[in-house]
Amino acid sequence: MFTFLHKAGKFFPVLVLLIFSLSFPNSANGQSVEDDELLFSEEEGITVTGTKPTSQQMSVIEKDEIERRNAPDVASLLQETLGLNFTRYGTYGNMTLLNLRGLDSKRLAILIDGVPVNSSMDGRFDIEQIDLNSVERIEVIYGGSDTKYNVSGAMGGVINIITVKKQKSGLRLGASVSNTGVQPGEYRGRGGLTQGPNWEDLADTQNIDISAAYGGSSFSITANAFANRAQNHFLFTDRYNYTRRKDNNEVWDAGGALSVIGELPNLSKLIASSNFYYGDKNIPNSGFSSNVGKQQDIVSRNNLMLDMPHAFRDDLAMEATIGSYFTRRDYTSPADVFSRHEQQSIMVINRWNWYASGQLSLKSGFDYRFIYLDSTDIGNRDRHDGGIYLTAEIKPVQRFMIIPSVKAVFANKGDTQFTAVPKLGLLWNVTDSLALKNNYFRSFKFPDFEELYWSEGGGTSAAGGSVGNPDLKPEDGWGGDIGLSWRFKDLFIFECTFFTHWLKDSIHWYPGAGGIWRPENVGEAMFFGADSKLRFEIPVNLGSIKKIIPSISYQYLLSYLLSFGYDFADNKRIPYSPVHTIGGSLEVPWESGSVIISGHFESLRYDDRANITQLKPHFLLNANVNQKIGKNLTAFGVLRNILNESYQSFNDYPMPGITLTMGLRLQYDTEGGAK
Amino acid sequence: MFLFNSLHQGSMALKSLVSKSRKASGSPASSSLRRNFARGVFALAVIFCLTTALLFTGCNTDDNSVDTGFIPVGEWTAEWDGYTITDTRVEYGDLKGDIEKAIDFSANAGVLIIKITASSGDFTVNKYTGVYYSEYTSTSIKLANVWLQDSNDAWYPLETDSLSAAISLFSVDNVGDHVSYWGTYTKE
Repeated sequence: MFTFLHKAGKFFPVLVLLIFSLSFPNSANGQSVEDDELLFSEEEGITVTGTKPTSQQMSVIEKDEIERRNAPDVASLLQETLGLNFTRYGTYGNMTLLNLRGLDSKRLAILIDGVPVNSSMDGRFDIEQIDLNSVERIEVIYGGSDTKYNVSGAMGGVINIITVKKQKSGLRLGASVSNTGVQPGEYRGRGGLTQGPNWEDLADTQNIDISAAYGGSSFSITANAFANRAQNHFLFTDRYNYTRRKDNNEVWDAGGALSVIGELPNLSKLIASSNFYYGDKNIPNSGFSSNVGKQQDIVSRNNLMLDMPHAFRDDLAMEATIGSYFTRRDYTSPADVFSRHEQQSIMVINRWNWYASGQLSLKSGFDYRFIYLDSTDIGNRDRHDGGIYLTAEIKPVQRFMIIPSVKAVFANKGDTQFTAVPKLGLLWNVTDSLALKNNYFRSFKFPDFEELYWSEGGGTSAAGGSVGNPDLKPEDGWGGDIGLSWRFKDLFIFECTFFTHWLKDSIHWYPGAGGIWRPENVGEAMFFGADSKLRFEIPVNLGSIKKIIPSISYQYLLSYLLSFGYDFADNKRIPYSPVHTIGGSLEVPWESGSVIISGHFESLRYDDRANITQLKPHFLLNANVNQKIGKNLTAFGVLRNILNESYQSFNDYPMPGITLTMGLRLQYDTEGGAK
Repeated sequence: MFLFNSLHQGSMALKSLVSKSRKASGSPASSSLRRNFARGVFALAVIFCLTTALLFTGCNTDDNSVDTGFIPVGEWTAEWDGYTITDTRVEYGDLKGDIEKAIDFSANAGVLIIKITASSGDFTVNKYTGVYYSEYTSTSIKLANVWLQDSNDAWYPLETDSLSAAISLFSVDNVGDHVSYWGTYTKE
């Protein structure tokens, strides 16, 4: 079956392209499209990758929505706004793995200001380290081989977190403080005795954030700093139906960010950004365990970017970035075993856009990364990786764009391997309000250091430990999607995308001889799904309430595990991939505030490949209120998990019931200087 | 079984007494009736006391008896390993042991405390260890031996010298400290 599909897959995109092309009129007969619709916006801060029409499914969360939602972290924000899935090992500060179209964090490219930040050690990025107050905008691009940023390893999509923004003139000072409390109550302690209630749980987590921004005539500067104290105590029901109190999971973290944008001639900009994170965390074993590991994280990122909308010629744009990235993780296990993983990388990215004519623009560039890892469990390792790409945006008729792209990715681990990763995107703006999008792509990812070189020391259920496998092949796959985006004036937006993705050679750890765990290219999987979003803006006249904004999202994901002896007939789901995910919210804004009621539902999930251990469906209901007090002060309150649902995001890692966050946000804005 | 037999015998004795009492109620002599009634009451009281005593002694049997009511019997297999559990024994690879105590934590979870009878090295013969189970259904189960890590990064099995120490150690309040990974198994 799959041999046939694999062979047919080579010709399928060509066939569909042919049918798709034939179905188009030779010239658009709807309303004309503005000529600059396909040009990059020069006000977006980052010229080459600024917002523009794309064939890819894409969602954007802007700063004002980030502030209104008062989410505790990026993952919660993405869940509450876009309905994304994630699995997390606890509440604030604990490992959180995002999930896009069924693919986990290792297979998503995470970018900060357009620069990839996935760890070379385990492929992930600790998204819980991002301070939401420093985020200006988040872009989520769904599907493999993104042609916007063209970074390597984006099998399931890209999440770009933008922290840099050109500031308007004048000085702005900001600060926010908040407290999150959980419901105290009685519980069974470790000695079997009834304990509690612990009233200090009402002040479980505190956040403080300060920021300053200044916009001058030729430069702007933004700085912010944050600190969090999270006890992460809450009541939960254990597997034996006893009420317990989660503990040993305290987190202290702090960080800061600084960015400077200098204006250069010809609209060019020089952007320097730097950020720092420190976290001190207690990491307990699963369930109700007093075995606790200690973890310290230090992260530093520094980027220097030159952004030239008109590089030497008016029709040429260029963006060049050089960045350095340092992470250190110290971990002391419950048995007092110490390990350190220190990673340093230097990255160079260069992107060019040539607007050859109204019908053609070409994008080309490369990304290169040198990584050096010094790890207790992996040793001293280094690697060069990256890729070069060429993307064309061809507009044969006014409303239709063809976007062929190819990227040659490489990773040097003794012998350099180059692999071509092609993609074809089609965009048809049927009318000004309706667009059809279609993509076919290859997805590709090199193994990470952990998979290649991990040495004895990990250990799982057995006494054997684990070792990496230097002979691993890259993960590979093909996918496609087709979708529409329909916007009717300002009244509603409807987006729906059907997608499919086939993965082969995915890397999984499993025990072999002597109980030694070892990774192998054994995974094969198929995903079919649909992702729909509908958002209304309904004008009303209820005093100061002028509109209400209901929205709903639904994702259907049918995943099939096709390895470990399973095939389609066995109907085995990929672990942690719910078939149904439904999100919805009702926002009622008024002149000085807003109320947002939101809900998130995930259907049954499985913890294991055999689909035996079930994580029951859960529904989370949240309510969020913002109210301005005077000119500069905003008070906010958020009730999360109002229904006090007992659930687990990851098996045996319970999540809290109802929580209440209350806080104040201060924004002082001088109105000096020209705008 | 012993408790059930005691109750059954007690109930037979009561039936016999009631039958005798009915026969006696046909006698015209009321004093005889009162005597019989008093004997009946006395016998009932004795039977009640005996039954109650047997009930308690039934519950307080010595620690060496095996409660087989909560043993997840079966051939449980996963992708790479498996357990064989009978009413009296647990086998996991080269680890073999006799079940000395089965303690339930809830309707579908508990611990089997075994006296180790064979092991190629990691476990010590004649010591006691625990095999936890949870999410037990007729077709699947989660099982876990107790391995802990020492400060030299080595893993060792958790064992005790006596059954009473094992009963107190492998408890519902300690399982979180003993198990960080549950294996999932299906019935053969």
